[in-house]
Amino acid sequence: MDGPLVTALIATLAPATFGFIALGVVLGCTVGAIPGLTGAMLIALTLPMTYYMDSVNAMTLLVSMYVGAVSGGLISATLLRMPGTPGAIMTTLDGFPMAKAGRPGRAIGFGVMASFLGGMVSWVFLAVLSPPLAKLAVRFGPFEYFSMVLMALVLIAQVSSGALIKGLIAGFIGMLAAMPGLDPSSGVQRLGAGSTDMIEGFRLLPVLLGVFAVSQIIADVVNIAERAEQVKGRLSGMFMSLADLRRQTVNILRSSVIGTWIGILPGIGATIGAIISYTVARNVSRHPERFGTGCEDGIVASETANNATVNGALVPLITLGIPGSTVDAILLGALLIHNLTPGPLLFVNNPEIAYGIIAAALTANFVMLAFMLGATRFLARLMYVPKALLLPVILAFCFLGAFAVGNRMFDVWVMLGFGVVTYLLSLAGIPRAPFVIGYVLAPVAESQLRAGLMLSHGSFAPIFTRPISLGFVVVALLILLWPLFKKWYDASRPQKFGTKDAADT
Amino acid sequence: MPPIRDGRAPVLPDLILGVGLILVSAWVFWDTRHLPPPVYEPLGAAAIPRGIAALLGGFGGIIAALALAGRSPGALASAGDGDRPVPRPWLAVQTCLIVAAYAAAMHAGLLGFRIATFLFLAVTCMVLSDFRRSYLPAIVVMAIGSSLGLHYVFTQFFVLDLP
Repeated sequence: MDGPLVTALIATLAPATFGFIALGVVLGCTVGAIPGLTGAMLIALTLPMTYYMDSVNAMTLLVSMYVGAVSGGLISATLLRMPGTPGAIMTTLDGFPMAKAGRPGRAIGFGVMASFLGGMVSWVFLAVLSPPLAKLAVRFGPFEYFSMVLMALVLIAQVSSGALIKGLIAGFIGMLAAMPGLDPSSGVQRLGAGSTDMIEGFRLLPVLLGVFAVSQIIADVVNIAERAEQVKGRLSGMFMSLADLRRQTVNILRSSVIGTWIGILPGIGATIGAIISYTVARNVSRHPERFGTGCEDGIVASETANNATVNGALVPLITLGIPGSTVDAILLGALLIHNLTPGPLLFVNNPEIAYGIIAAALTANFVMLAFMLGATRFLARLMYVPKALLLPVILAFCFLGAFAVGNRMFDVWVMLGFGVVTYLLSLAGIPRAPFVIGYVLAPVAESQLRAGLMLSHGSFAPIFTRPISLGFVVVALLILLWPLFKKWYDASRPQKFGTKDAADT
Repeated sequence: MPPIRDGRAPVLPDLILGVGLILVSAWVFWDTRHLPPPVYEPLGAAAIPRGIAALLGGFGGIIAALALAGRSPGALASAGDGDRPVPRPWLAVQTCLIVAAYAAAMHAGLLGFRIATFLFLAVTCMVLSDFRRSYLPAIVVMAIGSSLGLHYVFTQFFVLDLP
């Protein structure tokens, strides 16, 4: 652990900074515990209020919300069979049956401890990997950046829910949404129909609020009649014993590594990490039949991995300027709003921010453990607040958040428009994650490509002749071709069996 | 996602999506036709939007063609839909209309933030709670508290010039 990180860790204990961490974790856990509200929504809504804050405290608050929101989701997943955040989806499979069997405290206790340990292990990766990776990334030229952004888009399109083509469509729609406004090179206005309101294009915050808050609220209103099955019972026995901990050591370490790795991959968040970790835990278990019936291993695998993705996803964000998840896309926006340049130069130009984010992630993890163990009983009651009263207040906050960007109603209409369009796109199976990643990365990809082409006198060849850039292109192609290969492989297998059967007979 | 029947996916959303993407793509090409050619760098202002639009148009064509053939990429049968309550899309339409009216009233200068927010919260809460009388006291208290509280916080602390 080097000097700046130790300094940043000590700084998180200063009363004001610690206060922001505690506030972020409390709000994150609370929102995470309420089904229908997500951490992304909370962070997008909080962004406009951070205008008035010091950059370090702003990022500290947002990162703490991220940690809290991912953890809070396990409460409703366990007590309502309804994940408070998407990342807790696999926790429902074992958390709810265990709670229903009369052990809700134990189920939540296992989840909280697993979340904490997953966060700790992945934080070590974050602290150890980030500085050297940033040093390496400083050497990237424009073509490397461009091909890396392309790879990130293809990757997120591939792993998003639904078909690859719809993931790609989402990514390209997001990229197109970033195009209106003044052209960065020539200064001419494009795709704005000559409107003065569109000179700056669609501003980041109204778009994020529309995509994450308004569209989610519309979805919640459509499904407002949904009632969850509730578990009644005392939340006692929430502490994990040493024997339990020993039994789960391998599971925790394995799930932490899976979660961290999935988090590091651009654009993939807690949900995929939890699914893969849970699946691996079940596959290597001596009793796979117990999974889904209230198995402790299942809760631990899911919760360890989804929390590990948080720190994993921060690695590409602060070292490369590539969001590791959709929430990180909002954090990327937060850095831009505070006039900070995300990417490797963050460690050079604003080390207090880069190390501040790393330090906040650790301190927030400790605060999360204390808060979740102490306040779960109260959070459990908040889950039952009627949505009919909650959603309109959030909409009013959205209005204020969008309006605060530039004191103009145009941004409010942009927010509402993006919310409705994103919801309608979701009906056609277009996922949100690639859309947002495309939206935030398109300006980076465009400026890097154009800068690169100026250096190469208009030649695209360096994309394929520079080794690192070629590596990213090859990975992107492999990701694109994988579904075709898998389809061919799956189609060829029954044929072989058929041939064998025919030969046998 | 709507359930799939007889092994065929619901194709109308995909058809609308495909046609919509083609139209958006065409609009981008039309809107960028007057952009000046590149002078100091090879690509120019129009190249990237057109490139993205071309890809979107192509994907839109594929999606529309698949939809016409009765196929929807990535469509999955939703398990357990039978247990879930009926979705209420019209409630969402009503909510969107109320939100639009709320924004329009302030945009046009008809109402100030406090009154508009009070009315918006009260009406939306009533609509979403199916006009349950038992909710009324809570709604009134919440609407008054929120509209005054938000106005105070955002004008005094965040120094916003609210409508």
